Amino acid sequence: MLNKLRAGDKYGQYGYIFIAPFFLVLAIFTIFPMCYSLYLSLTSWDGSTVAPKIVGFANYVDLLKDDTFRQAVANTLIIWLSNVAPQMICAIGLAAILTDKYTEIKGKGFFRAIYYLPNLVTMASVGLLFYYILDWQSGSLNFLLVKIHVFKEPFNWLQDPTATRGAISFTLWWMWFGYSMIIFMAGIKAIPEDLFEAAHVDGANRMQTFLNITIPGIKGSIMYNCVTSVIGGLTMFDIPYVLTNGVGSPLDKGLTIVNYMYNMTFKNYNFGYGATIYAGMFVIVLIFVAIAFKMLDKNLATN
Amino acid sequence: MKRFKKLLAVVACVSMMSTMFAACGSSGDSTNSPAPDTSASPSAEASVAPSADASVAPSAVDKTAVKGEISFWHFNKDEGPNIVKAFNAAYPNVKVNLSIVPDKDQQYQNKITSAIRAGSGVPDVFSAESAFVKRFVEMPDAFADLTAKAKDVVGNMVPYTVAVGTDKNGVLRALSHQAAAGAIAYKKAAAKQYLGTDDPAQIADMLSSQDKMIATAKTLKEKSGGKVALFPTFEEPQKMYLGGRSQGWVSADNKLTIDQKMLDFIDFAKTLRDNKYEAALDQWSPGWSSAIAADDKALVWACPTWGIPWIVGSNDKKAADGGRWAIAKPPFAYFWGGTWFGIYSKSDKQDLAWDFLSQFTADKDAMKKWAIDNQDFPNNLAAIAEGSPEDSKIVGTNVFKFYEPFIKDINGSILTKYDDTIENAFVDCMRSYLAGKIKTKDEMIKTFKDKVKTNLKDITVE
Amino acid sequence: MSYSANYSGATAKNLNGNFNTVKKKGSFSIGKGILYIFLSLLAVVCALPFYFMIINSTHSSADIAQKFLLLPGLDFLDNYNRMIKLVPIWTGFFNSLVIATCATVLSGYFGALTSFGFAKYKFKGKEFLFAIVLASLIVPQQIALVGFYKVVSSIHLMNNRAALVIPAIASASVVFFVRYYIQSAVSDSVMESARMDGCGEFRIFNSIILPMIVPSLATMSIFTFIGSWNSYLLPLFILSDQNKYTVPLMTALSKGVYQNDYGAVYACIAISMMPIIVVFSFCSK
Repeated sequence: MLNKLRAGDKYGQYGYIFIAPFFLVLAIFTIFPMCYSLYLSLTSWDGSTVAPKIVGFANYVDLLKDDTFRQAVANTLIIWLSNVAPQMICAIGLAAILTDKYTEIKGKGFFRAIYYLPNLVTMASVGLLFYYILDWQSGSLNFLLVKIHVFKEPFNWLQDPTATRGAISFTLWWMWFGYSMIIFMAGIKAIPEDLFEAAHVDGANRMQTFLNITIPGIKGSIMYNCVTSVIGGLTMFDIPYVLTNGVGSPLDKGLTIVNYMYNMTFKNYNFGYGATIYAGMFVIVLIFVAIAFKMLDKNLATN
Repeated sequence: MKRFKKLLAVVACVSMMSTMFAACGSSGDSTNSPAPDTSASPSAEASVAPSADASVAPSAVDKTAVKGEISFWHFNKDEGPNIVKAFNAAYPNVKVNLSIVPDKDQQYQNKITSAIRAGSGVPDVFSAESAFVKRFVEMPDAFADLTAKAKDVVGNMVPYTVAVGTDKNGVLRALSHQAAAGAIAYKKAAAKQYLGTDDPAQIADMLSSQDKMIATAKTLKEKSGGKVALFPTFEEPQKMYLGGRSQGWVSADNKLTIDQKMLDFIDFAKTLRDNKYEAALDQWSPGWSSAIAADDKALVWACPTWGIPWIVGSNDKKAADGGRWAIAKPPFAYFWGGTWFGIYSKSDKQDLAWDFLSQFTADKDAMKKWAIDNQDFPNNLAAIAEGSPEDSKIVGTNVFKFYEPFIKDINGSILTKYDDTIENAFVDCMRSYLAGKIKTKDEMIKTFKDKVKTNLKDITVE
Repeated sequence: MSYSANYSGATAKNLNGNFNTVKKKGSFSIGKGILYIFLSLLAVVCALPFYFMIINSTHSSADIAQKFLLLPGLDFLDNYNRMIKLVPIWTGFFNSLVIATCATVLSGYFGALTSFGFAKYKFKGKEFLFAIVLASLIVPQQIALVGFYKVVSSIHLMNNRAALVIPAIASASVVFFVRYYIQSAVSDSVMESARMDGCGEFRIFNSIILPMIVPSLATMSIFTFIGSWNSYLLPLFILSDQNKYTVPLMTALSKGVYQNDYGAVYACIAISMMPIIVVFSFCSK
């Protein structure tokens, strides 16, 4: 064995033992499928029993010239940004309010549970629910707006690019702010109680406590939420799928990257190009995750 | 920055691994490559085994003596179990293991495709709807060659159903138990009130051409004060126009072709929408369903044979009492929907699977009984010619006799394996055009072509 | 887009405003009243769709399609009886319960073990391996499906519920979340003193660390359970025997191809949501 310089290293082998089962399963069920996708991106294949034909980087060349892919990336970023900011602000604010010992809010547990409720249902059902609500001629929203004379005629929400993206953003916000809130609350609970008490005794107001104790104390939760929202947001699928008739209507303005990839693979049976879209998405997500890490490192270091 | 470097390292590692997998992946797949040889084996087997032909003649075999077990997948929970029940009435000693897999978001098709690719877990017999049957008919190693087995029975079938089940090399691979010829269903009371008649012949005349349909829609709108549109959605006539084309979306040399019917339809739908001659509902949406049960809202539905129980009957509970609905001759022959069945090419139970398949696609008496029990329309010319034993309660007509004149004009060669994608693109462009987001017809056609080009890279688009 | 942005922008402003007013005035203030109104409105927005779902399950299909329903009806039993004829929902319940429970236990235990390994041990390539964990979060199910199918069929786990349970061992989000929790909540001195007492590393984990990190594990377990319970795409591809179908597959089955039996579908959805609501309300305490 190598020289052990620090005491901790003597137990290092246990680290490997403890993470081994995880990595074994990960390699079989996640890393292999992932690599298989990357392999497929170098082929031309219709998913049949005829073996994939290696075409080198032809798919990647196509991807760089693909306007629809660019459109899908733009759509995804727009939709993601317009729901992630409100989602985080809402979640962190609510988490602070609902965990604050000195604000006597009655029914904290009730509010916490009810905000989390939207996250309990399958995404596809949520999508369908909102699809019915937004239906042009027979949806409840138009029914209501016409009844209270906001609109003279029902508005065709899902044929309007801005309204469609807005509907997707709103649905995602509705579904996920409770989840983020729960994560933040778990983070706040892990902060030692005496820190808050000391701040209270010192006469710090809520805003000061929030900025100086809560935020630095939940660095891990913020990191977790940011990274998962980048990944979740950029790989969104079910809700935009249902709200855009599965094809990214109107005219690809509601098409997300994963929708495009899914359709290319499982509807058009172009497995090679579908995998290439995946590879493109993978790179984009990695860039964003790296940015998220870097920004957090910087921000939290200054605090 | 340190973390970023690490992430880059992961990417590098992953891409390295992927090239490794690429190497072993391709060698791994080459073990599957003797496939072309084996795909020919079912037909060879069928021609050497005369027993297969014997089972076609119903009287020659004692069906109760046939024993065994086969697996069968269907996407329709309303049909699958009934097929098994009907089959077991004749073959009580064959166990059919039925699985229903809903085709929500094409997942039934993908599940079967995955299984065929893996070469294991594929059922002996599986069904395919008109929207995707061509995919499996053309797919290597999917459906077995039925040409030899079915040579004595195809003559009894409605020709278009055979054309649909035949691949581009002329090999028959899938059969249907039903013919889905189209007609027009309308609400009698509303027709009488606003158009002055509920007689099928007169209604058919009022809807016999594009111009006449528009004139009728205008009358209807004026007389009803805008309460009743001609169609609930532009998708109703769209189904008619799609099913009544003379050429498919993709020609033999893999070029996108837009049939004249579809060019006509674009203008027709625009006129309907701009004048509110259609109620702008979505097909299969709750609003559309409730419009069927309502007395007003819309007058006319595209109605294939299966639409009588499943469009009208299941949505309008009062329809079964009779007198509410009638069917009229369509402006041109068309078909919409229908389900086909085939045997998995590598199933080791080819003969038993054929017993199962032929029982409900080739046995005249069984097919007629099925059609009567399930308000279906048999894919058997002799049974159709005999007429239904009694009139349909819902539309008050002898359904077999009514649809019989249209079935021979239906063109079954218009389906291609690309239809799902192409029609999705078409509808998407259509909706934008109707909503005024695309300004002109030319622009709409261009957008449509671009979409097809993006999605289907092996098709030439001009 | 603008709708949600404005909406949430306003809520954010309210929040900050409330913070300031609440702290300045006493325990009874306008600020607090506004806070309550805001919290309650948000609660209504969250609960309304569920309310409609449950209300719809008590009405006939025709009414659901035609009317705007606000009050409960009397057709729940009718809907239920029609639904139960179409889909063996209780078999689905059993399957879902077994799969979700096993997946949750496995992901909780192995997730905690892995996080512990990452949080408290120094070994070569640790950060690199952790980056792989992170990267594996980026595999959307939809595309991994092709490779996943290949793996599962080559190890002969098709149509086997185990194929839906075993992958839970490698639940990257659990590791990601719990690792940070262990780092902040478990001090090195705890481990040192346990080692002094002669505890082996496995015993330290099983009897000291595991109880300490229960709160964060409970949080993640809720998510795992719900995720597993609601999972649709993977079970659909893996299972082909109807007796092994899970609740979401049964719900999809209840819809039918042509028939729009919304009453039965809503009854199915309403019933299928009950256990997760129960699990959630238990675990959230």
